[in-house]
Amino acid sequence: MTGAIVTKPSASSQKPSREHGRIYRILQHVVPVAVVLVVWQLLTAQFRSPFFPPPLTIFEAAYKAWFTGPATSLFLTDTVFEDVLPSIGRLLAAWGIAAIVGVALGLAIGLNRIVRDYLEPVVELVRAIPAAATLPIFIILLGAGAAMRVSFIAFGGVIWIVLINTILGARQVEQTQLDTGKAFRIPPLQRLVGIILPAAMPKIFAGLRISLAGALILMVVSELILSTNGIGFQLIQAQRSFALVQMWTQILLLAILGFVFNWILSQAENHVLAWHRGARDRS
Amino acid sequence: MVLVEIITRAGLVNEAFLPPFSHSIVVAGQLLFDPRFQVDILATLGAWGLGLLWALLVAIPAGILLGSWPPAYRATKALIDFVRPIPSVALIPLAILLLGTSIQMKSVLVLYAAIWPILFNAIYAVHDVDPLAKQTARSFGFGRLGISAFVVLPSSLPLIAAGIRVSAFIGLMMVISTELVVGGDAGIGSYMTRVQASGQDTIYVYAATIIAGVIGFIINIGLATLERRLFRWQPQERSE
Amino acid sequence: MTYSTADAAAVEETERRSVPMLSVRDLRHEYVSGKNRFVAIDRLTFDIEEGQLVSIVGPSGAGKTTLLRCLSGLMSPTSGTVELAGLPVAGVPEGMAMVFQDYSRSLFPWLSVASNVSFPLKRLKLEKAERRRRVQESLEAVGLAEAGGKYPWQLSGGMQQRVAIARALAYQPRLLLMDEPFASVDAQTRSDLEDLVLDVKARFDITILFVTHDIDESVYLSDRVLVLSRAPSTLADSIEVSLPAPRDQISTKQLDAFVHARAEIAALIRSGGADIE
Repeated sequence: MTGAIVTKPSASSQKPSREHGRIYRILQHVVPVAVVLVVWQLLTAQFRSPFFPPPLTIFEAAYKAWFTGPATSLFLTDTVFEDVLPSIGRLLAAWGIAAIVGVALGLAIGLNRIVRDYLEPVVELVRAIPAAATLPIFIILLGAGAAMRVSFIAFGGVIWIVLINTILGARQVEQTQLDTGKAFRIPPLQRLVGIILPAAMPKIFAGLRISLAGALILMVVSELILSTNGIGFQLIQAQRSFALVQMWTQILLLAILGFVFNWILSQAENHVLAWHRGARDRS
Repeated sequence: MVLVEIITRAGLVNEAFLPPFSHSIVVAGQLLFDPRFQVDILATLGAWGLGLLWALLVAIPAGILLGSWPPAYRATKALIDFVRPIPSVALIPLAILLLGTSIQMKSVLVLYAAIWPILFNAIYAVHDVDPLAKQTARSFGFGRLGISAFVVLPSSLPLIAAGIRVSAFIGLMMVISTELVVGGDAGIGSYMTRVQASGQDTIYVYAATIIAGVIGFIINIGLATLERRLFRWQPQERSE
Repeated sequence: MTYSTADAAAVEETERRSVPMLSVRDLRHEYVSGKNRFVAIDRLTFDIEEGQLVSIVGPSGAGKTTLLRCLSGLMSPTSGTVELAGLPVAGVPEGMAMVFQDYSRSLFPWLSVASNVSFPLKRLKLEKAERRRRVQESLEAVGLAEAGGKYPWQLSGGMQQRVAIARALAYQPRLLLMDEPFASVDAQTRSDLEDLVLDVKARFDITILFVTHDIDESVYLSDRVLVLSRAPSTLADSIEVSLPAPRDQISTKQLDAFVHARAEIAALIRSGGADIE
């Protein structure tokens, strides 16, 4: 028996140097986008369609719309406070609540075979309903205010995605791992937090990522109809007054939001699930 | 078993605003046979089907092409990360201005929304074909085209099919969302807005929602079953 | 009567050792699904003394896994009793640890090696220093002293199983159950791991119950081999293995006693234990 340890060469040890690798990767991401932007700029400047303003015009308008306010409010304009932040706030609140409830419920359902056999089909059924179709119901039940929007995002969409993914995650926890927990007399609560939760994490994160993207969509949809403020409201207002450039700034904002949220969640996922990537790549 | 759960759950809650589930189902049934509503259903499904079809025709070849050529793959992968998070519903107002409120406009929106899942899945699927399988084919003397037809295509189909299922669902969402925003005179979403605006019984809205849900469910289950049948040789992988 | 403290300790020691570590009486387990009943084990009765390494072998399909699950408390037998050091087993008892066959699914991929080993220790409410000491000691005992910071997927199969063994050792159980632990590793690694088990037993003086389908392995490791018949499995025979210690992969396996015991067991398994009632 030797003390030597046999390890598989990990991917990071094969990069020439960490700094080079990082710069190269960032470039790989930036260059194609830059190319597309340039092409877009050239095409729109060339064809001068009123419906497709050049990107530079959009950026300029966006800057004017949000960042030219008084210094007292960090140079942010009113609309940031009246539309952008409330929208984001509603989105995150709805997503946060639904995510927590969804994970908790999902674990509870997924672990109990009897309950799962009854409820999983129900969840699948409800999830198949296009969320937008349920919006009128929410309007009927809860009016047209913020509470309705938050509820719609949370319970019309997010929670079902999180639920189904969490249930799947809880189901596929390895029996041997559970047996190990029981064989060492680990108390049930610790088994839940220390074994089941980490094992289900990959699927749970997938559910969180998808539901966040879905939440953004639902937020926009809920604000296109019967709203008095918000990003979607600004969007539809711009459409009604044929303010094309303003409309595109809202689209730009939504694209940025979508990208940022996804990026943040991906970073969190990479951090929490670092072990998963390693284990997965090996097998 | 499942139905019992739903009905008991809905039967408990019973107020003026929330008609009992059984009633809603009855009305939904009536609606199904109402020829005017059938026009609505056809309008929605028509726009959806058209957009989806075009998405397939564009996305699958493009995906296969982009996935097969490594430099293109790398470039598109970067772009994917930027494009994917853009909510397609944000383009509804633009579409209204560009194309009015016709069925064509709806199907274009569906096309835009549905293209991405199919495209991305096709790209990934083609790129991730097991190199060992390709080498095996080459060792048996298959040429480039043969490998594409007999190895790459079959092994990427399951993932592409999954992408189609997702696209189908997103497309349906897109149509209904558009109809809710736009109103108009044909479509399930339009029907809902009309009913609400004219102050009719809310039960009709519920009924329409149920029908939309059933349609979504049938599409989902239908495609999933089709996938299972066609791809029985695939190890079942539960992914979303 | 008064005893000196030395005598009292000796008396206690003798009393302790007179109770078998594991006592199984009339164990029977039946699987029922719908109208089908399958009796996996029946009328199983045996004792295991403290400090012994006892192997359980049997043809495939003999209820080896069922037996182990009943012994470990993970499953309740249909009838019969299991006693650990005189106390009846109902649920998983204290002082028992288990090493599973499928190490890749038994270790937790989200924890480092050291965290995996210390995972069961959290419940024991030890002091942090003591916990770390035990982890280090057991990792050293299995030859992985430097591997504490690594993750399971970075280790080979044999290494992972060593971690599982270290985890069981750190727990300092009185009885160690091993369920075909080396069935999924290659032959060379298996020899190393077998020697590890002998080493560990000598160093820590644990009682080990070792389930395997490999006859060579069972004779090489054990003081005693319990042979199960085909399902419904009962004890076909119990064979004492009197091979000298320290044992060695090459020379021990050439001894007459080894060859003889091996042949006897093989014959029993081949006949399915049919001629024993």
